[in-house]
Amino acid sequence: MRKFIKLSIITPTGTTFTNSNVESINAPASEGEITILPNHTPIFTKLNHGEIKVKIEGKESFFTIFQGFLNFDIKGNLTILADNAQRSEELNIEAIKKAQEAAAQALSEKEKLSATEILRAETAIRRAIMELKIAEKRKITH
Amino acid sequence: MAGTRKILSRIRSAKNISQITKAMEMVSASKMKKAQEAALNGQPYSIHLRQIISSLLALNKSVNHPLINEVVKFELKTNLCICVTTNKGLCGGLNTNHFRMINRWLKENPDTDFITIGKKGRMFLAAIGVNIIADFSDLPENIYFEQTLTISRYIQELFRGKQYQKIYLSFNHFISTLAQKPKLVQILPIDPHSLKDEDLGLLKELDEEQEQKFQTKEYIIEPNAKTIIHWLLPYFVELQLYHFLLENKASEHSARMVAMKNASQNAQDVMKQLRLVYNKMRQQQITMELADIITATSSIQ
Repeated sequence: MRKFIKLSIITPTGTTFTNSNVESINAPASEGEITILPNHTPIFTKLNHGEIKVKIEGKESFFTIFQGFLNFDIKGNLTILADNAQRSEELNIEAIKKAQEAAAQALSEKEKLSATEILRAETAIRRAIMELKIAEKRKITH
Repeated sequence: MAGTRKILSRIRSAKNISQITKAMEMVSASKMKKAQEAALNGQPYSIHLRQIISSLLALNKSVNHPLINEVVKFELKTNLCICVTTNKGLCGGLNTNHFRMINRWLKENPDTDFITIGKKGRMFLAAIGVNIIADFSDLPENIYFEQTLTISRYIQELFRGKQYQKIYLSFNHFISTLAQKPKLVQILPIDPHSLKDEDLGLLKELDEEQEQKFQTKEYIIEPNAKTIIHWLLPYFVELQLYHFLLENKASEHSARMVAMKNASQNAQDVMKQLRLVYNKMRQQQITMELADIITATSSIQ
């Protein structure tokens, strides 16, 4: 019987978080929210955008992720690969709003942009909306 | 004094050069730090993605995907190679070594078209007269993932359109600041075995035992293996290309920094030698003048 999960949250720009004493993890999987305890069956799933709840020594911490997937292997390593991940309390509402505005501004002149720039701006807006939601929620609960 | 003046001007020009190369070294050093960071930070992600894909493919041998299809149904002989080089020179033997490798490879695979990323590679390939089907040299200095999508989607389209048998990518593999090695990797079709290529230094830890357990034990895959694989493989190709580009950037700046450091060192050495020659000449002249004066005075007496 395992007591802990070894968690690592990894993004293309680096490792956001690692801890080997995780008690449980709650994540928004594509088929609905899942909770993983140390002796869960190996699982691989796509994740929806949203928040991951990580419980360490009874304390909960939250991470906001954007586009990713989760892999829990036989050895008890839980890896979350995400395009973007950060601690929820580090979300800065003003910065997010700014990013959203910049992206919206860019999209308003759509004809000037290349296909990749449009894609980039649209992704930025979707991410901003999601982050704003979480940031608002955090503000109320804390 | 014509001789000494000449040497003085040579010392001056050597000094100027050393100042320029020193400045370039500094610029490269700061760029190198950023580029290395970007390349190294991305590595854990890449490793895990490879691990996941290789185990998913091992688990689901029946899943067929156009990007892993190893069976070539059409009589295709043409390969495509994406040649990633630098836009600028002055980076030591980096590009030269790369081109040597390509030349060697071309001898064995003469039927190859090229896509170039980087002006140096474009110039070289145009000079040896191979077929270049596209050029993406105008990528900015700091590469974003989204910017590389144009390229990776384009090659996937070419591959799915059955235009090429295999698609390779050649770039400079970053080992350390002092060592870079040109490398040619196959990116399409995705070869499940090559995912464990130890030579790339990415997958050393994935042991056989774990692999076996993967295959025997029940593994929940949501929504289902087919969807996941269909979604992951194109993404994998895109990410791989992005990482190779980052790695090439890290190699470029490292090589340039080292080359500039050597150049500064050489300029310093040249200055030292010239200074020595200059001093010798100056002393010789003084001695001669002294001898002149002495002979003159002694002849008067």
